[in-house]
Amino acid sequence: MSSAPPSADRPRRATSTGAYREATLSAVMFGVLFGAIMNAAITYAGLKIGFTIGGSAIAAVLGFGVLRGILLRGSILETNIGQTIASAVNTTNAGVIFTVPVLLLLAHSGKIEGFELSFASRDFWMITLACVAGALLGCVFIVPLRKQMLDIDRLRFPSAVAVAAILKSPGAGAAKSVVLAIGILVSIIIYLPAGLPAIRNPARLDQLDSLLARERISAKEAELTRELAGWIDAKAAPEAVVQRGEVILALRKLREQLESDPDNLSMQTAVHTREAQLKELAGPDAAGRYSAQACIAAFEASTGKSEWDALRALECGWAGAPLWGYQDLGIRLRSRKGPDGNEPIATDRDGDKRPDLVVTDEKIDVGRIIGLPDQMAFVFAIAPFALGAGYLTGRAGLMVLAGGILAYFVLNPLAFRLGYVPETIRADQVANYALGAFNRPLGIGLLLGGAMMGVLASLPAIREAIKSIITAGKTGSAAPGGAQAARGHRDELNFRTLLIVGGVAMVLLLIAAEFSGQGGAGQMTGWLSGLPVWLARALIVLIAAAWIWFAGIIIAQCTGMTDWSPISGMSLLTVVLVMMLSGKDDVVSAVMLGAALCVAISCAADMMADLKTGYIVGGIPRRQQALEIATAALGPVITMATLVLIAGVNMKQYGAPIGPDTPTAAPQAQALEVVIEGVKGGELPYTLYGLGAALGALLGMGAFAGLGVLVGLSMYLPFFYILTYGVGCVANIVIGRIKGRAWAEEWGVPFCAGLIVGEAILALLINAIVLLRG
Amino acid sequence: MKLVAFLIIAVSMCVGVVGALTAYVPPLSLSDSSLENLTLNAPAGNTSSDPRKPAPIATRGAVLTPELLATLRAANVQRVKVKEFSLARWPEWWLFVLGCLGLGGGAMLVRSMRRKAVAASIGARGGGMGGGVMPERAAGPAASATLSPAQLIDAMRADLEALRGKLRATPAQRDRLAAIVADLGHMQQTHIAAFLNARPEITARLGLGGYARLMDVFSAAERAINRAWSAAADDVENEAMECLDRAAELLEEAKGRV
Repeated sequence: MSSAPPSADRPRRATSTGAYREATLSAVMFGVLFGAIMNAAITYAGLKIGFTIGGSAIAAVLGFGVLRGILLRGSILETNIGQTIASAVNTTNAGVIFTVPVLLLLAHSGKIEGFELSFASRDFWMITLACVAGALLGCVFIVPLRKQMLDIDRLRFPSAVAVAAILKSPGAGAAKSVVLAIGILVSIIIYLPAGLPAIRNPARLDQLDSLLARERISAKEAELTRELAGWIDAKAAPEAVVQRGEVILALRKLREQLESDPDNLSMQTAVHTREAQLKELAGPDAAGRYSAQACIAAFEASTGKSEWDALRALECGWAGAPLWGYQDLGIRLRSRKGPDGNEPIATDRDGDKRPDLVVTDEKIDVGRIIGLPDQMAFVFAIAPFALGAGYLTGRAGLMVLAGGILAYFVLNPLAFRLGYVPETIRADQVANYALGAFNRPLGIGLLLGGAMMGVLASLPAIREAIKSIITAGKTGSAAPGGAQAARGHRDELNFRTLLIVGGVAMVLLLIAAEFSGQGGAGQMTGWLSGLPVWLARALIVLIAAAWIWFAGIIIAQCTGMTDWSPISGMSLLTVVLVMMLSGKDDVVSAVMLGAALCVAISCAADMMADLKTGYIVGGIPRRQQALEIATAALGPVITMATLVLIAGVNMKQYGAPIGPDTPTAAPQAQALEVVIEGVKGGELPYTLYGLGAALGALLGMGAFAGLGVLVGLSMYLPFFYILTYGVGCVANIVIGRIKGRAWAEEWGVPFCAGLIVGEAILALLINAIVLLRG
Repeated sequence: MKLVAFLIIAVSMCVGVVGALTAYVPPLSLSDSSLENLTLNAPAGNTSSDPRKPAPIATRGAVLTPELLATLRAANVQRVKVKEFSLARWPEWWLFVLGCLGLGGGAMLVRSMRRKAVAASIGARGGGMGGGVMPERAAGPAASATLSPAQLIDAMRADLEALRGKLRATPAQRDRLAAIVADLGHMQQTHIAAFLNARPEITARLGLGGYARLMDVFSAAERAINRAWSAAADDVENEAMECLDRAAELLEEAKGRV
């Protein structure tokens, strides 16, 4: 994107000789407003579908629309500030929604007691406080590493390069803007059939067979839908279902009353009685197989409060007909029916007596098409984003691909062959089994060891970078030497500011740790059980802060080298660490600190990516850093408030704050719940983390310090994303060889930036539609 | 030789990971006393012949008893996955150690080769960082790649000076801004990219600390160049000119450090 166009190529704007617009009020307001809207929308969507999307690229595109298109005055750097703030406010939602909802799940199922998440509860404010502290710490800890990561190590940050390409497009000439637009268009065309099926309408009865044939719904869903249709036609439902609906509603009412009068003993007894009644009615052979919403709708319809047609809703278990997607192409393996007329397992793994689909909405199973052994999962994700990120990463990304091939094509089949996986696991299930059983633990270990080696190898650079910032604080210049000092320019935030903000954040974290969960009154049962509680809490906060610093470096390195970030893996380790320190029963504190860490590392990675974009467009880091620190704290407040609102509405409508019985299933929280149960049951393979760390450190001693991180990441991620990403890396190298490196950069970067942005925009649109349709 | 070193690393990595995989999967050939009372962390054995409907002999969470062990052995189950780790139940630990040794050896080999390659590259240019006589202005990325780090900085300074001269001689502001965008775009693709690729050579000469000190100034210059480009693209000429001056000063300082 750096080569210049002929002057006639680009549209002219009014020539200015005034100050260059950068950190302006309109940029700040745009960033805060757009970031807040994205944060709330993505929080809801993330709770529903289990993952979030970054906002920088979308904010950059919209920034141009608003600041340049509507306000007619935005500069490249002003738009950069707008996207910096918008992504800072938005980025924290992943940290909260991957962690905090698990407390709602655990509290609702009675596994933790006394936890409540409402605007009036202490826990809400303490968790919000901890997340705000996390946001501040994430920003403060990563600022001193900017010089080392960007100036010295020159980490690539593919998405940040894409954002910079968008920002520079007006000045880069019409031809490159067209290439960028083509990239966006191609991305949308590729991703549309992958994303559209997320939008579902209640199916018509005459559609059920077709949906079943296309494997859009299961036989169970079709059966349930027909059952519900039968109730609608008969205007009657089984007695147990109606009764269950009545009990659920009564229980909700009682709980609401108990909230206003918590000491009322008779009310408490009534709640317990109703709960027992509900448990009895929810047995596997009784009404329990119908969703709470179906039971309520049946009860209300039978009492005339609503129409029977209300059962025709997805929340009631009615089958959904998704919009058209790749899966509807119906591309299947060639049939290999045996003499008995049945498909062998090689072509029919799911046992539905038809050859399996090889193209689904999200993946293409090339391995099965070309007949690779079952244990080699050669599957590509349909993800233009991964393709673009791979291209922008270039040669360094090949290490991720190599690590993935090593893990999924060599080690997993070997483990299967040598009998290291249970006999109940089939060859085609090895990749999935191995991901959870050993690839992920070893991958996280490799990440830790690789990152540790990276920090050690970069110590001289880090020392110089920090020395430079400290010197700048004293002389008024971040760059040593007289030239810049004389101008009085300061590139970086000075150390004193960072220390003050960091100190405040630590105090906030300590307050949150002291007053949440077991609080000061609780007894520690973990490794720190011998210490006075206040001292143990202070130690936990200090350890957590040190861990936040280290995890921030890991995430920033991962994002910088590849664009992937193992945030959920890091939060898992935090929860484990805190549960080890404070005791396995102190789940609230563990999850709270896990949330703080998750928020911190998202902020750290986002800040570094924004600074990379700023570097490419020539922004002043200090301005970006100050504004990001000032606004990042807003993010957790918005996410937590959205979460409380969603949980409140769910509780009223579905009788559960979050989880499978509600429209917001929170899949990541369900996964974390399994991990917490695993920690309590001593099921986590700690030794594998350690062995992985040793291998990661040794790998980092060789070709380059980040090798352990790259290989670790490749073992941590599902292989289908790595393969698509790898195609991008290889394309970069091949195009560079054929057309020359300069050509590959000049035209490949805007096109791939378009691929990344196109998918992000479309995903946001689809999320918005899902959100609006409830 | 490079290929051999990377092969050693790849094979060692495989060996190390295979060793690690067995940490929680002890063989049932171990004695009963070392396996008793362990808890299964995955189902063990399979009595079903239908691959779609497996029927484990023991489910996850089952505790290994002498009876269960006997049943599993009778069913020819070789290994089980357990929750607990013990070095005594990890017969393949040597594979892991072997992998680590191989990785260490491979790493040393790679490092020594890299040192030799950098020394050869410096030697080929006649030693030093290549100051002194600056060659003619490089035309493209390939030409820039042949210059030493010091020559690249000189080339950038010369290009900046030439640009400033060109701007003084250009009457129309529109053309001046276009010239900034065009010339800086060229510099970003040629000299700056080539300078960044020279990291191994600079690090070998100055050490990582020296490289960091150099890059501290060089990166500030690069950012000033990037800012000048953006300002010119946004038609803010005074900012672009200021940034060009700043970049020239910083490159001067970088020259001193290289």
